[in-house]
Amino acid sequence: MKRLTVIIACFMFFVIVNNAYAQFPTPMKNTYIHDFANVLSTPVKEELNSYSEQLDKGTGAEIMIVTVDSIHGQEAKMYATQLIRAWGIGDAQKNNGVLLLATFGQGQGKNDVVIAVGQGLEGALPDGKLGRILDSAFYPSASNGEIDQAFQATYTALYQTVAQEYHWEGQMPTQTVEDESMPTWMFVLIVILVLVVIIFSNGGGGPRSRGRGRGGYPGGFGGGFGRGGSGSGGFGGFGGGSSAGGGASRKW
Amino acid sequence: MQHIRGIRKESKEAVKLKKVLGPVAIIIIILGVCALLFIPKYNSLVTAEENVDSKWAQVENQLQRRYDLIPNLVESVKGYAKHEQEVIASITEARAQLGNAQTPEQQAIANDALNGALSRLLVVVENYPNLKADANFRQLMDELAGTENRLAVAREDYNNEVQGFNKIVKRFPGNIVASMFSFEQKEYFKAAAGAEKAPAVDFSDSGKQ
Repeated sequence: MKRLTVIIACFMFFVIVNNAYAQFPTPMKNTYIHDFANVLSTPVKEELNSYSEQLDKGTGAEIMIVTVDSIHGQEAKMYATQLIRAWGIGDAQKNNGVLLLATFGQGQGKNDVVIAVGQGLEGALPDGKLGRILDSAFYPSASNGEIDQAFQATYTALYQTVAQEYHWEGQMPTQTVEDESMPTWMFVLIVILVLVVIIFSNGGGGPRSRGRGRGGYPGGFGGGFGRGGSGSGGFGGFGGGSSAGGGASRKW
Repeated sequence: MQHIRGIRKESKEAVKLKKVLGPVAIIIIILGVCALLFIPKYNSLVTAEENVDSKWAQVENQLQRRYDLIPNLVESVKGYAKHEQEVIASITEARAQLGNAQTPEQQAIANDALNGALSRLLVVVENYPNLKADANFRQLMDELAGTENRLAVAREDYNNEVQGFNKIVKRFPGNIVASMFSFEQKEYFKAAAGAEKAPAVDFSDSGKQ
């Protein structure tokens, strides 16, 4: 019993110490929208996340949104730059991450909002332009308490600029493109396998097995077809991008 | 008897040779070990120095960027606040000081002076709403603030590299290699105490207008 207490005490100590040094929140899984402050509505989060996912798959550029209560008195642009580095937002070679970060618990007029970019996008999104985007897209809605609209408008401005930079049309890479790239004999083999599975499983189990068979293929050979291959809507975030400190910030 | 003596003599010479060979072998082994110790240290010193230099280039880039942005800023301030001669002069002066600085320390001091002048400007700007709302001025201040952040990042990266380099130069056996090939400790890019915080740009008031 004593030993158990000691172990628990050690564990608690570790957790406390660990928290004291934890500078940044831990990223959530499988999303580009990290709403730690809980200020965005679910449909908006899902919409923006799907846009980011498309953009990431098509261009490798990553736009992330992070909302927090406070950044504990740190300088906003530096905090955002270090968050890009810590999480590795953007492609490791292209350094094309964009981070829109806002605080909500520091009081009106004291909250920070900042857009930080990796060096690869500094040309498309220079500091002056980011400042304008914050002034025209974020501030008017946010100061009226319309948080969803503020993020949607700011996000749209960022998304359009990045898409333009990469001449990206905004379409999902379709599954059929990947199918074309597989050899015919492999396709025939899979059809045969699926048929065998259907034949050997009785009635109702059929469609489900077929679904599993289809899903299994891109998973197994996914490495050869790039990130989009996985049937589970593979998350491509955190490519290891860095930032040299570009960005603009406002108090709101 | 003669024959036996000859053999003895030979064996004595062989012993002598062995006596000489022993120390030579030891010296060769010591030299070999030294080479094994020192060559990688030398290489890592060269690599570390290259890294320090490349990070320093980043710092200089950002300093140059600030230097280039200032004249435009001064022009746009003059357009609205002609009478603030004092602030304008202090900014121009700090810029000239930055242009003349050579060593990291001098550049850090000049950069602090520029920060000081810019924060005085931000105080003055409060009296000129038209200037504060001017699109060109806002853009320039954003660029300047962004450059300050880049500079802070570049400075941190540079200082980290310098720390790594200096560690090798100071520690054994790196210190021997460093003195043999005259590698000297590098200077940190240090801001004066209290001047580390860059002047913040706060536009929330003018945004409400």
